[in-house]
Amino acid sequence: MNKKSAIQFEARIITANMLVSGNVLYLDEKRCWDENIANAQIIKNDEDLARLNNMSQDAVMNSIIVGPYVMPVECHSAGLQPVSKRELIRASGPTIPTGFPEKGKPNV
Amino acid sequence: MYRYDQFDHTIVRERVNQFRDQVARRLSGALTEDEFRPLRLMNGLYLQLHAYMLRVAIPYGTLWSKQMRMLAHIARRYDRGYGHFTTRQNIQFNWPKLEDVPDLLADLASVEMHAIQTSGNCIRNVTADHFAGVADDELEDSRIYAEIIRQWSTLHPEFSFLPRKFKIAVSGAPTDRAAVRFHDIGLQMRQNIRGEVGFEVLVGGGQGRTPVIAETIRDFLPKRDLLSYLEAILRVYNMLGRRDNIYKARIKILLKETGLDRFAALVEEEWERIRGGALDLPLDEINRIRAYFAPPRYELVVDPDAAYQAARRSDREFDRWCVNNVLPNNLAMAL
Repeated sequence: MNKKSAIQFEARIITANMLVSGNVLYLDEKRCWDENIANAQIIKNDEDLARLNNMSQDAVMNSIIVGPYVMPVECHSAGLQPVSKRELIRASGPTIPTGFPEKGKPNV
Repeated sequence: MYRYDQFDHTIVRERVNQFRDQVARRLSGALTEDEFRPLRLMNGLYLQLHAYMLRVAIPYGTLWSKQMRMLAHIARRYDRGYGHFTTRQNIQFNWPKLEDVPDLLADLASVEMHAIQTSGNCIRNVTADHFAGVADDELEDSRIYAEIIRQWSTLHPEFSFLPRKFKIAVSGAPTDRAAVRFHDIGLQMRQNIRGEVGFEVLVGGGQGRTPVIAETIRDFLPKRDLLSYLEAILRVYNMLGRRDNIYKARIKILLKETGLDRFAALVEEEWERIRGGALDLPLDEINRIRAYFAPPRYELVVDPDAAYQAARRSDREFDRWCVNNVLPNNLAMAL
């Protein structure tokens, strides 16, 4: 997560977990589910919210995601950052370095 | 350590097959998450912040080498090469894929391990002194009674949907290495004035956001009455425990709200109604379970062992390891 810079504005995005892996996902600007919060689609208004919620429910029905919900973010010059500590940890990964590589990735 | 009989093998294998079908139905969309959640929790599978987490029971804190190798295999094949041993004799794998979990459970079953009732609002894996069976200060091997409780509580239909999770620990030694005062029920083995071995029963302990030290609900419980008394406690808790607030649902909160005397009276009333019946625990049954804990063949080392003492004197690191890891045992009596 980038060092916090000045807040430009506050917004909301939609997040969920992937059904198969449990990975954290964000609904992105291409209407896809992306692991990078930087690509998340910002909810602009109530119409946007309704449309994105419908898309989320479709993804639930199609067994792609689990438990979608709206989460607040802050928009910085460096990009989107979660407001809550919980979401910051979800977005950044475990707070304790394990010293072990991810499956299929070298340990650096 | 405990070795499975045919019934154990069958029940674990059938549970794996049942969960395989449940996972397939979840992935196909036939089961919603609301329908699937209680099913996966009964098999130790959580959905946490970053991924699924599977909690596997390590009964009474002991593993044979084949099981340890299987845990390593599971970590490499289905996870990220590591696991997390917990304070309640489990190991947790933090990155399994949902679709892999049935195969993972089948691998566990092949070495007599499982994840049944390691989560959910049921009686969790029963824990015991990790030195049980060899501790030189124990009255009896606490694993025998923990296993009896495990068999009674596994898939117990009345106690599969308790107000909240429920943890039981058993200590057979006066030095409490099982943390019995920090469990929903703690069983501390005691001898009465006639020299009979039974249990001091403690209730309402726990950690978490409301740490509470358990209180003694009964000074001495004969071994024969162990299961009927536990059933009476669980039944009172199941009837009166709060289900409207997850933070108020543990038995420690019920105990605070009702008071120990009132709670004990309700338990005694229920116990008087059911004791001496189907849950009676005769000595034959205790001995039958004891036979499943046949000790390994130990080598008798002559004391004092000159080579061992010399190594401790000459190697400071080895000596330090011995100070921290070697304890007296009761095997001299057995040999």
